[in-house]
Amino acid sequence: MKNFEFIKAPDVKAALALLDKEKDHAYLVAGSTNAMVDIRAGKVNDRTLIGIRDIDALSGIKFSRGKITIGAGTTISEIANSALLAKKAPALFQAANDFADPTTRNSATIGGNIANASPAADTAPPLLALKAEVIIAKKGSKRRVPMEDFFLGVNKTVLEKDELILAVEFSANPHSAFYKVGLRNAMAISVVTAAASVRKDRDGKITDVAIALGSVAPKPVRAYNAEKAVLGKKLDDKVIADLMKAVAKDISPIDDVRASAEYRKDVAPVIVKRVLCKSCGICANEGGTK
Amino acid sequence: MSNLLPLTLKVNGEEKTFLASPHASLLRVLRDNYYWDVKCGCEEGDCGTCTVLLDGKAVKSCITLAHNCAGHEVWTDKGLGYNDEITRMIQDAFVECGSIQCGFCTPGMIVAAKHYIDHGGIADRKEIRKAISGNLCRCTGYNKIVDAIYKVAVELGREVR
Amino acid sequence: MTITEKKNFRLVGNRVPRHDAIAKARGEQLYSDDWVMPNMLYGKVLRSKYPSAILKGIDTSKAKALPGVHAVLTWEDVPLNQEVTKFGQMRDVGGGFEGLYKVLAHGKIRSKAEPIALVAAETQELAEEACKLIEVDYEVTEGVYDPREALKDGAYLVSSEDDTNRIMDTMIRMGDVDSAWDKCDLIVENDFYATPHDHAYLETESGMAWIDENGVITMRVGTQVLEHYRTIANVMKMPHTKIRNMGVPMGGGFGGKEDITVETFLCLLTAATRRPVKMVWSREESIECHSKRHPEYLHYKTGVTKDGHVVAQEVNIVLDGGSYTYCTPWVQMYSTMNGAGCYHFPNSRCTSVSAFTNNTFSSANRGFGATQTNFSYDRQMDIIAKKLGMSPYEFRRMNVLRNGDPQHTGFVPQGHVALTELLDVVWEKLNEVPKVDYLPDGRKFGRGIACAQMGYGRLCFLHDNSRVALRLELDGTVTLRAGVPDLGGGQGSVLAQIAAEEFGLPIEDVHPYVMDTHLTPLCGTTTATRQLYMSGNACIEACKPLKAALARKAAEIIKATWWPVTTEAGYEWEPDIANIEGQLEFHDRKIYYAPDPQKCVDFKTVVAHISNEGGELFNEGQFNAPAVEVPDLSDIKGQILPDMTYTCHGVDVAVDEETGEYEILRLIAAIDCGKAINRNSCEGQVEGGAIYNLGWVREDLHWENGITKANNFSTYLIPTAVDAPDVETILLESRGGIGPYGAKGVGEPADNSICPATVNALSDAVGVEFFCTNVKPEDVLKAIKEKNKKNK
Repeated sequence: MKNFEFIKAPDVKAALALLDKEKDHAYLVAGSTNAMVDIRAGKVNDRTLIGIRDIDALSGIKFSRGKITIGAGTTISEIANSALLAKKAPALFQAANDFADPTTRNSATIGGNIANASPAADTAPPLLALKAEVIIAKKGSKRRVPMEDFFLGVNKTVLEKDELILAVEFSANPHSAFYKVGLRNAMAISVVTAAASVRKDRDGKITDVAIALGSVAPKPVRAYNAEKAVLGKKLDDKVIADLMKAVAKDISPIDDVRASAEYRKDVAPVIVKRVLCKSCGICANEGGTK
Repeated sequence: MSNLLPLTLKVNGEEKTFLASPHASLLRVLRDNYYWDVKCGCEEGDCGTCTVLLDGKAVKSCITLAHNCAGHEVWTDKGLGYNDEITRMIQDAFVECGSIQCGFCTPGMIVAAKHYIDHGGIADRKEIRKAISGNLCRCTGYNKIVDAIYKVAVELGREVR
Repeated sequence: MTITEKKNFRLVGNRVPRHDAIAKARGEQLYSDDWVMPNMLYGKVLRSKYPSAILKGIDTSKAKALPGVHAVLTWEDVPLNQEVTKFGQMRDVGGGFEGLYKVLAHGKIRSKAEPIALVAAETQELAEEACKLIEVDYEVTEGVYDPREALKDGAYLVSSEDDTNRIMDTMIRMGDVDSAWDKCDLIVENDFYATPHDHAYLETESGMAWIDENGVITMRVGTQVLEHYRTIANVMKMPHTKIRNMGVPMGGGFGGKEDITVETFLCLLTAATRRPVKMVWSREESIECHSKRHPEYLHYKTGVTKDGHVVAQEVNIVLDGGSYTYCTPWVQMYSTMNGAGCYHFPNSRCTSVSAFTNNTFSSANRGFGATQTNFSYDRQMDIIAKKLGMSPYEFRRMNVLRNGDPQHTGFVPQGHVALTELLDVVWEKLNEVPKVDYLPDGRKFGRGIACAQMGYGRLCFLHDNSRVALRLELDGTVTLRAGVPDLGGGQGSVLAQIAAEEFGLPIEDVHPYVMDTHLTPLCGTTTATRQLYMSGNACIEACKPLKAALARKAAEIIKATWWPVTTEAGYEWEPDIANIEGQLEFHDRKIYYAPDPQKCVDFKTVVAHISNEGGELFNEGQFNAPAVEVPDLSDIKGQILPDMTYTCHGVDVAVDEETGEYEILRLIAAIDCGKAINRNSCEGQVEGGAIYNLGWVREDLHWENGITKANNFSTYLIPTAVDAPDVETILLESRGGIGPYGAKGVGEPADNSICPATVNALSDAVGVEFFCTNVKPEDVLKAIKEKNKKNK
């Protein structure tokens, strides 16, 4: 039998106090788009649901001195419709627009998306590529965790039972891009996703790069080998070929109901190439190789 | 078993207090209280037949925790039709354009269309298709649904020039 | 060929809003899951844990002891646990056509969908909990999951009631195939595979039942086959008069609600508890436990001359019937009938065999055996055209069936054969956009065309019929009653439209009351694309005597009102009644004397006169389809179906050669509908049908040894609005059908040629042939990689 309690947290302070009190029993619910599915399936039970949907302080997109801060309770819709993000973090903007469907985006939050830690979480690769930090609070303290340290495995993160994600923060980078391969154009859990962000010097040499992939490992991953293949270089056919070759070392995909590991291995390098070229302002042929 | 807790919502303009399990979805609370126009097609957020407006935004009520909505405003297709001119226009357009076959997706589809029009939706078939991409329809192939929403956008002067 | 006489239509052919559309738009339509009653219980089915096992025992004691549980039933509690399957036919055809129908599991468990026990409890959650407490002793067996394996000697036997897995064998032949191969310049052989396909209607199976004050078990369940009440009564060992279904509009059916779903379960539970019971299947239960489109393995051997004439074709089909017979024999008839396709082969032979497996049972799915063969023969035609260096259009056009050509059973259809016109119009429309190699965005371009035939109306040896009742009301409106299950196609509304046309009334003056087993005349099943054809004709039959009575009375009134007329010459002129009667027209709520429309009378005035004089204001009309005897299945000859509908689809695709992702750029759907009655509904079928089976190309149930891995809507992916292109619909109206006003049925034919057209386009784009209906991006990329490897 399903067995739950529900308490609504009016503000962050109350939420942290409840987390502190309930510890193992606590289960935070914001947009509830994942929570309801897990509750129905019996994956979650015997918990106190802490409602945080109404905490205004957790929501909003701020830009200040080159830094973008997005409250954990910000809906994917707000991100998908943000003119600021379209300009300053196109990777995340694009991921939000490819996320589920417009109706689900009205509820789903960015904090919930990363806290759920699905290997296919659409916002994870862009946040990894933008080298975001996760701002986490618990009663009496706060900490910052780099995105690349945040995920531990399938549905596992560094979050402690009494912790709450307040926000994600990253430096704006217009030279970033995202690409999703799904089995449908809407409401599709990704088969493979990739995101990249770059900085170049005047000669076009890549001085800083981050590449990340989703659905190719137990958790969203940075593609360090791929990054190494392009760092300090100008993009040309040879560098792109090296980049694509390197991707294989960064991923460990599996067969599932959506695609085979082989397909993921085939497609990951292609979309890494595309997001990198797009980040560099080169028009990678999105349609293929003519 | 979980206890039933009181939940106050404004539904279709009326303030109501229901008793609901702590983990109940908004869909279950609405259907248990005879808001039959909110349909249940999958109960996992994958079909959109349960779409309602929550504080003016379209959401899938099956993946919305009911108690999280306490004190908020919910509108369903039926309630909107009798209170909101835009919704009535959309409903009439669906009838006229032959957008309705089995009708099971219709209430949710109309709420998604209402959200689109309310948020400045224009007469553009691609944009309309995106706006209803969270709502499955197995009968119509979507053509005539897009026709109806397009028609309303044109009637509201939202043509693309 | 019959071309039905032309008539000036006032309502037929228009975009008439359906009578139920307003309620559906406003959220006021109630469906099967939208009914509750005081003191109601919730029913739940416990399904098998394994796809293949022997049921050794069931211990229900713990479940029964759970407070709030009122019934736990197993096979021993079912009055008649084994019956034969019927699908509403009015005639017992027996033989291999009516297989075993088992209500609850007993003996061998044949699939994971097999119902083991039923529970009724105070709440849904309690019912689920009780199911968990039922202890089932299974002896797990290996099972068999491929019909080709199931047919081998020594294969695992699926059934405990039969000594073979073989369900049925059929054969159709024409000419002499064996000696015709010598006349062929080119012989092409290929194996095709058609995948299982889910209906994925948005409303899952649901409903409720209660016992009324007279002891009648009454249901509110949406079904395509109201006539199942007879089987349910047999199962309950009750008279047919005591089981009633007050049918409910379905939230989609597509063949999946053609079999009994929740009905027997509800009746058993309500009889056991004497309380109302409601049952709703979850999406997972729906996908795992209702029928699927038959997976088919098809072998084609086709011979042609070098100038492109088809000479001979041999087709061998193996159908996966799954766990029980259900519609398999009927589907097999359609596959065999359509095996050789809509082409004029002087020599052809199509043999087919169906087998039990431990997969979910196969039964009706929109297209009903015609789609699987259609995919295969029209892929085969495409492949041959390429080998001959001919355009896919030219090659088809040269060989398609034309008026007067016999079908492969030797029967020459009465209706118009529009295949050449359809091919022409689609090819012309496609070529309005010039074919290119690559699109500017770098994607590879492909173009495909395919055509098809499919019957409408049921197999003629079922002796199908339908009836519609009309009552003229004293205010001049008309009440129409018809037991026509409405699954969303507007099956009820179109009858009102026909009656309104006949009586010259606006649509709102005719109200249809539909779908009640015991209060509306039985119309037969909403299957086989038959309702417009059968019940439409029955409706016209019902109108005829009433119109005759109205005309006679109107003629009398008109004559008395307007005559005698004095001419200029002072001559008094007066026509006789029969003369006036023969020149009356019904429109605008009036009956007019056509030569001088000033002379008219109100419809309702005429009705009042008839009523005053004690005349009949009620009539029930019946229509009977052509009837034949059950054919010799080893050599099927003659008329099998009443008539055929022809379609043609054209598709343009763009393929991303690096990822295999593809987009449907254009979709042209053309059909000869004979005559569109409700233009919106007719187009709606064509558009919906096209996207339905466009979905088949991508949807995958991921069956693994009897287990359905894609059992919900996040894994079983039907097209969304951004996956479906705008369908460009072309309706040809030859008036050459045998339905009302020359109409043909469109519901199922509408989803035929789309699947081969799409796959033909994909093959054209990437230069690789595909042999399976299912072509996902992954398959496209794999094909491209293999091609590149070969070319290296």
